[in-house]
Amino acid sequence: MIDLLTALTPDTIHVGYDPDTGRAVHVPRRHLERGVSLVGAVGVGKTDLVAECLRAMAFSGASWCYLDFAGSGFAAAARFDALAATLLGLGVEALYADTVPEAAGIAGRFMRRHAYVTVGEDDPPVRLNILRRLRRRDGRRETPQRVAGRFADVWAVQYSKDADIRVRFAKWCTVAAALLSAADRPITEYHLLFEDPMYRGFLRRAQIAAKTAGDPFVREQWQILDSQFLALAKTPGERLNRAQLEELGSLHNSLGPLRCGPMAAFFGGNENLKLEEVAYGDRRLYLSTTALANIQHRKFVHRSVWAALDGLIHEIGQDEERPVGFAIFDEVAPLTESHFDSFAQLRNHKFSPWILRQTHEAQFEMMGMAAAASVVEQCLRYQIYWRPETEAFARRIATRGPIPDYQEEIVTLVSRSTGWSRSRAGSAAASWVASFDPETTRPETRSIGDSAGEVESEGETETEHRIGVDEILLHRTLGHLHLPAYHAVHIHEDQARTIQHVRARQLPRTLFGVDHVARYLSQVRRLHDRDATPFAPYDPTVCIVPDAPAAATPPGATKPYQPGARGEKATAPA
Amino acid sequence: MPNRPHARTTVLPMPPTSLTPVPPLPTHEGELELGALRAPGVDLFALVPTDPIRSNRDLALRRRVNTFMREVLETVDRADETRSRMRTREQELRICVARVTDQVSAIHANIALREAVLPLQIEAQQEELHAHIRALRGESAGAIASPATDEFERLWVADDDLSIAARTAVVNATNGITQDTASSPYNSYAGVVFANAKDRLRHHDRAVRETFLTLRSQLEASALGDDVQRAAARTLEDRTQEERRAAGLGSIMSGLRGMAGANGS
Repeated sequence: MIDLLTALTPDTIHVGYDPDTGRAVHVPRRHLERGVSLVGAVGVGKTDLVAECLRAMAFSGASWCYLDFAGSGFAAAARFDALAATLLGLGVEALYADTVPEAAGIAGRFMRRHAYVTVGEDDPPVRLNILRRLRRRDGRRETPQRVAGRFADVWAVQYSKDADIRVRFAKWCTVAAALLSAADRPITEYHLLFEDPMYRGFLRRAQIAAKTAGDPFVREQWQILDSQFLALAKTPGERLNRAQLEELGSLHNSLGPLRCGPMAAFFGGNENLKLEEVAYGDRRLYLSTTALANIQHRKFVHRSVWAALDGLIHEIGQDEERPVGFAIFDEVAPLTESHFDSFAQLRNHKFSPWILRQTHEAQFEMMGMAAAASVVEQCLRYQIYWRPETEAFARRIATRGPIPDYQEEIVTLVSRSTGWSRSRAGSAAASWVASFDPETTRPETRSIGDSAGEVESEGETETEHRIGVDEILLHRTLGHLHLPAYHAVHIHEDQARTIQHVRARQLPRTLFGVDHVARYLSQVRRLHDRDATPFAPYDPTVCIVPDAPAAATPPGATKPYQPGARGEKATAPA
Repeated sequence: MPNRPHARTTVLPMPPTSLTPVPPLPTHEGELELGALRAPGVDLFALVPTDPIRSNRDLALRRRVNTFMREVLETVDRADETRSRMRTREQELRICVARVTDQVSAIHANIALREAVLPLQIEAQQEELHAHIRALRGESAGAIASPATDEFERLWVADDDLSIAARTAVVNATNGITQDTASSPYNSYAGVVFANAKDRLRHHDRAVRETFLTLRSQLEASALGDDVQRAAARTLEDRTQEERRAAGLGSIMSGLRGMAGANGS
C-alpha cells in the first residue's frame, strides 16, 4: 500500500518564464528548502507564488504552517484544497475505491490533513490549548516550566517597554501558566486560581493526577502564590483586598481577552488540533487573524502559536528521514527577535522558513529591528525580490548578481578619421606660430590653408574599451528598478536571474451554484471536531470528588459514574 | 531447438583470419645518388677553369666559382643525408601501418567469432538450465524435448474429448476469456496456467504449447477437481484485481500531478 496523499513530491517547481528566451523556469525544490525570503510591494504576487508552490506540494508528505497576517493566502489555499478534495472525492474515491484500496477514504484523509482557522470568529473551527504540555519527539511531555516560559516570553515582547508592568506581570503570568499547565487546565480559568480557594484545591488534585505535583518548579510557584499573594489577605475567606487587586492589575489587563471572547475560544481547553501533528506529522495549518479587532491580540496569537510550534520543531534531528516542512510568515509584523534566532536553525530541523514582506528594510525599522533585514538575508538562502523600493537597494541586488566577466566587458571600437597627417599638421602649426614672433620679420606670411587639400590623409584605428564594473552595475540597477509587473529577481547562491512569474490559478468559490469552499470548511471542522480532546469545564457544583483516592476497585468491576471525566481521563479526579 | 542438433556438438565455422603481409621494401634503382657528382667521371672540378690568374677580376671570379662549388657540394651531401633518413622513416611507417591493419583484422575476426558462437553458447546454457530444472522437478529429460512437439502437434489436432476440451480452454484463455462456461469448464484454470507460462517463457507459442500439454495431461489424470478450479478462479481474480489496481494507481497519480500543476516530479 502506498499513501497516495504523500506520493507526489515534485523535484522542481514551475514558477514562471525566462523573459529573454520565453522558456519555462523550474526551481529545484531543494533550493526552497533552506529558507525563502520574498520582498515585494502589495499586489505583486508574493502570495500567488507561495500558493502555487504549496499547491505543487499538495500531495507530498511535507507539512506546513501558514501564519497569515494578511489573509489572502488563506483564501487561496482554502479554494484549492476545497477543489482538490471535491475532485478526490468524485474522481478518485468514487471511481477507484473498489479497484484501488488506497483510494478508499482519500478525500476525508486529505481534508483531515488541513486545518484552517480565522482567529476572531466566535466559534473557531480549529482550537489550540495554549497551555497544554506538548508531547515531544521522544514521547515525553513538556515540563510546566517550559510551557510557562514560552507563554510569558510572548507577553514579555509585548510589554518590553514598561519595566514595572514587566516585573509584576511576568511573575503572575508565570505562576498562572505553570500551575494551570501542570494541572492540564486551560488559560481561561486563570482568574479562578487567584479568586477561588476551591479551585486551588481542585488544581492540586489535578496536578497529583497529572503527576506534576512533585515538580520543583510547580512547588515554587505555589510558594510564590502563597507568600506573595495569598498572604496579603488579612482574614481567610475574605474577598480580594486592594493590595491583592493591585498585584493582579496588569495580569488582568493582559490576560483578560483570554478569559472570554474569540481568543479564549481559540486558546481554551477544547482543543481539536495537535501541533505535534504539524511539526512531526504531515498536517497543514493555515492561521489567519484578520477577524481579531486588536492588532496586539493578532500579534499575540501569531507569536504564541509559533512559540509552541518552534519548540516542537527544534526536537527534529538533522538526519531524520522526513520531508522538509515549511513555516510561512505572510507579513512580518508579528516577528520578534526569537523568531530570527530560530530561523537561523530551522534548516537543521527539517523546516524551511518563508518570509513574505513588502519592503526590504522599512518594515523592520518601523518594528525597531533595523538589523533584521540583514539577518534574514543571511539565514534564508533563496531570495526573491520584486521591484525594489529604493535605488540603493536595487544596487545591492545588482551586486548580488553574477560577477562580470572581464572578457565580455572589452568592446572593440573602430574609429575612422580624416584630416591632416600628424607631420603636416605639425609643420603648419610651427610656421603659424612662428608668424606671431615679432622679432623675425618675414615679409610674406604663407597661409596655412595653401596646400591643405594635397596633404589630407585618412586613417582607421581600432581601440579596445573596457566597460567599467560600475557601469555594468548601474545598468543592472536600472534594470531592476524598472522591472515590469510580475517580474522578479531570484537570487540563490549568488546567482541572480530575472523571472516572469506565472499567475496563480484562479479557482472558483462556487461549484454548480453551491459555495463549495464554505461547505468544505465546515466539513473540515466536523472532521477535526470528531477527535477533539475531551475537555471538562470546571464546575464546582457537580464535580464533588473526595480528597482521598477511592478504594481500589477489583479489575473488571464497573466504574462509578463520574460526570466530567471521560475517556482516558476516567481515572483522574476531575 | 528441438530440430537442431545439440549445440555443443556443432562445429563452429571459423571466420577467415590472415595476417596482412608487410609490403617489400622499395628499390631505388633508377635514382642517381647525388654523391656521384664527386665521381671522377662527372667531376665538377674539371669544369673549373685552371687558367693562371692574371688580374683582380680573374681572382674575384675564381673565388666566386670556388665558393659556389663548395656550396653545391655541401648541399648535395645534405640532400643525400635527408633522403636516406626519409627512406628509413618510410620503412618504419609501412611497418606500423601493417601492424595496425593486422590488429584491426584481428578485432574484426574476434567479433565475427563471437557473433557466430555466442547464440549457440546461450542456447547450450539454456538447454543445460532447462535440463537442470527438469531434473529438479523429477521429470525425465527426454519427455519435454523433441517428442513434446510431436505430441503437441499430434494432440492439438486430435478429436478425442480431452483434447477438444483442453484445446477449447487454451484458445479461450489466449483470447482473454477466463470465465468458466458450461461448454468450456476449464477456462479459468487454463487462464492461470497460460498467464504463468507466458510470464515465464515470454513467448506466446511456447506458452500455448505448454498450457495445452499441461491441461491435457491433467485432464487425462482427472486431476482438475472443484478445489483446483476454485483456486484457479481466485488466483485469476487476484491477478485481475492487481492489474486494475496498478492501472487505477497510474491514472490517479497522473490526476494528482495535474492538480498539483505543471511541475517536474
